[in-house]
Amino acid sequence: MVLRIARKELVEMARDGRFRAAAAIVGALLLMALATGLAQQRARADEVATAERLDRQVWDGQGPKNPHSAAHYGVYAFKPAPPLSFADRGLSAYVGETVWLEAHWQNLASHRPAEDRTALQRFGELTAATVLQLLLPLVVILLAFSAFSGEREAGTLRQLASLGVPGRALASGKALGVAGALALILVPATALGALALVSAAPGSWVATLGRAAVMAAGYLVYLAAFIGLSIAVSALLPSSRLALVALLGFWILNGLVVPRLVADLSERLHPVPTATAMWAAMREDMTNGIDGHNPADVRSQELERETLAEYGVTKVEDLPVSFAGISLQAGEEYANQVFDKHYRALWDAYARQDRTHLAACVFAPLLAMRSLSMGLAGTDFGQHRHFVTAAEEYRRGLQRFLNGEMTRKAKGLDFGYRADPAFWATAPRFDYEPPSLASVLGQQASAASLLALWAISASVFAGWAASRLRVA
Amino acid sequence: MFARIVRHDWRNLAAERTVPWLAFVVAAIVGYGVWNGASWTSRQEDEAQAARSAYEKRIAELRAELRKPPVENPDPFAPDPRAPRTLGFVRQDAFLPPGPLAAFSVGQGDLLPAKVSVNVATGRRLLTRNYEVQNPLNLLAGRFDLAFAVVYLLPLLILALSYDLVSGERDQGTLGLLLSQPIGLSEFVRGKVVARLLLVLGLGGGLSLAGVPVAGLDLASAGTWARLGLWVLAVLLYAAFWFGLAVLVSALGRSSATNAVLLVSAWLGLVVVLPSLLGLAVAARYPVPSRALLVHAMREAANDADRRSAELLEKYFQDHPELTAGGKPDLSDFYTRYLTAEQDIERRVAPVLDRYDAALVEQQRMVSRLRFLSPAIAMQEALNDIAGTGLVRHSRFLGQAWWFAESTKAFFLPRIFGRATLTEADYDALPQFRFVEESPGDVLRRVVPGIGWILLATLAVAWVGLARLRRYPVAAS
Repeated sequence: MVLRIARKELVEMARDGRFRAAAAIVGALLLMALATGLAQQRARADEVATAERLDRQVWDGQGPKNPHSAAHYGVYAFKPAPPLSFADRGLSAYVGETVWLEAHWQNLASHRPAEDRTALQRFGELTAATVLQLLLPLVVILLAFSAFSGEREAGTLRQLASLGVPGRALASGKALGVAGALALILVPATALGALALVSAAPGSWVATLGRAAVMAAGYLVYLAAFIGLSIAVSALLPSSRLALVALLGFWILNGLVVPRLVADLSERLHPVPTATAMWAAMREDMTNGIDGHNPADVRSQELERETLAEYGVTKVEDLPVSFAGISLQAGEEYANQVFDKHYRALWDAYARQDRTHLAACVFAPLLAMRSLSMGLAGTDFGQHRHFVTAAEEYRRGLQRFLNGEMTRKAKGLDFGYRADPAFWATAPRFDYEPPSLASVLGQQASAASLLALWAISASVFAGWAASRLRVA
Repeated sequence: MFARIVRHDWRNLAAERTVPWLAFVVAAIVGYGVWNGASWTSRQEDEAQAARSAYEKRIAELRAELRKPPVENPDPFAPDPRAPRTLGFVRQDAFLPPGPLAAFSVGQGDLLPAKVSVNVATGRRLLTRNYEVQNPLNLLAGRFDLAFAVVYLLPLLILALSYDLVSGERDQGTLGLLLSQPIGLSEFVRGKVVARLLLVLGLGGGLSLAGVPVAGLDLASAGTWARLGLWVLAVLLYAAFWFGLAVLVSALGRSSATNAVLLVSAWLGLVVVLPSLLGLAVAARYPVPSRALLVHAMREAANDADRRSAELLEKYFQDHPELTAGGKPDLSDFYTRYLTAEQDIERRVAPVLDRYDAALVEQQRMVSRLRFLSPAIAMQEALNDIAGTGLVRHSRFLGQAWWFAESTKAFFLPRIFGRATLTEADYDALPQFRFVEESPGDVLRRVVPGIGWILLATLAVAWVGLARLRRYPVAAS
């Protein structure tokens, strides 16, 4: 029975010129978004590979140089474009793409692509994700708003009721019909997406398959929530017109109003310091100590005393090693504590803000979908943080390596010492391993469950609305 | 007669229970938008103030040291207030003050850095490295400011009020009766539109003006008033465009429901889809070269400068005899070597930097042309320009900040290389940054084509619409 209803609905929709037009437009946009997304992703992957190679060449070919000069020269870490970023660019445009790993300082990632764009960017980027999150729900609404109210107005609902078709069966059939119509867009789109995935990550697409599958499932759940909601509203409201107005109103809130409303709200609830204040606080902690009672000059005197005691000598000149190297490394270790304190505070504030966004998904399921989608694509802040933390770990290791060389070899020369030209190639390399699917799923567990909750509540709502259907 | 139609329709609108609700929602949206914009603006101002005081405190400390008599054996690590390099390396922040109407439209203001830290070593490549540390998710979501309410939500309000301009009367069966009176359909529609326009502008305009004190605008300046006037004009024209479109769609003679769907589709196309589609086109047509390329150019130049440091030094002072007017430079001095190397790196990186700037200029030009495809783009660009939060004002700021960096270098380099001793007179003459605001004329020149086009588009749709009304099928088919 349900299948028969679904088939009838599907045939009706597929023959409807309005659906065909909408499907053609959305399909074309999706295609365009996938193509440009893929081109961007490929270009970025090539860029990163070239930049990493060139940067390493430059590093290895520094020639005779003091290790600390090299530390200041530093290296660069280039953020890779995750394979699935062709489908969802997430925050990519708004976080930096390169991190300068230099001595004494943990830098923010710089070069945010959005700064190299015009204000058009702020209308929103056209990606497969925006089409799926914003435009497809609109197609769902257009397909389903008159599901019951249309029949009621045409007088066919009374006939159906007289045939003894239960409301719930009717609702399930209609929902399946809408899903079938959506499949006409989604199945080819998924096939294209799969092709894009293979060409986005020629070597490692199998590894990305898991992420892609969860992402696709997420979108199905999201669209299911919209189908359920539209059917419920159509059954509940007296006229198609009212149902359309209510659903369009919800769509606008979901896609445009609530996300912005929450952005400002989250900043009010969980304020972050200004950049100027944050850097000033860091410098203050370095000069006067994290607890405010351990100033830098006292720290360096203590270090000198401890080092002399350790080597059993009384003067710095008698040390068998370079005190400059030891002192530099001690400075790094202390600064690292300061960076950890302030960056952690900042990023934790972001995380609290992100949770505010997620909490607002009570009003706008898009917020849960967006979080899940960019998480799986690898373009959310969690994975940006993972990358910059890995880069920072590498920076600390590199500083230790360079200061170690200084300590061991620069005795008596300190900053006048020149390391051997072959030395640079022995420095550790930065190999970034993105987080596993399991850890991403752990981070996105609440987004995923909220999304599922939406879909479940929407279908329960639809079932309830259909069971107390008024035929006239 | 016309006035009577307006009055009658106005009474009809006022009698509907939805109007107080509507007023409440619009008030809440406008209030929240202006409040957000105002908090953002005051945050910017506080930050600039904090940086300014920190700089002044540092200079005052050094000046106090300077006034003390010189000591016999100075601490080699303590900063010497008489050495030009001590002051030369103190960072002074150049801030872009929030635009005169920034509280109305945050625009690109939250994205493009409003601060440039300048000292004697500041090169062009370092100008834009001062990020605000805001959550990127909030940048992606965008601001809920007045400009958002105008560009996105105002058209929806207008469409809700006017999708059944004529079809509503037909559905009620009052249209035939109406037209039996000595009155034309076109005059009737114009009356209804004017009544609704008054309602929308009364709500929007009145509340925006009520927002002026919330926004903390500088009302003493004539520029602010000129910009406020432009803002109101732009909003009026934008509203008129959507009413015109509603008239055009109404004139097609379809049912109210079809009208509503057509109008919402037009809104979706013009406000949501087209801008992001054109965004793709602009980025594809004038792609900004990879920033990784800039990094590499910088690295190579730095490495090379390091290697050829002695040779560079000599050449540099041959090329710039004016820098050593005071005395012979100490070529073994670390700062002398460092600063000459910096100059060389800058010279080599400049062509690469030019490519980024050029690409961005081309992009902005293309957007200025493409804004004619969608009134929403034209409107957003115009509002950003009027508020002072657009790209052009920011480029102007970068230009001035660069000029400030150049004058800082021109002040310190000869003194550092010539090994001069600073006096109080030098402290008084330190370069200062003050942003020179665009004149209202500059803003007008940029804004007029955009809003002029909205006016033309409004006239076009309204004219076609009113003309078609003559053939309106009065009896429903």
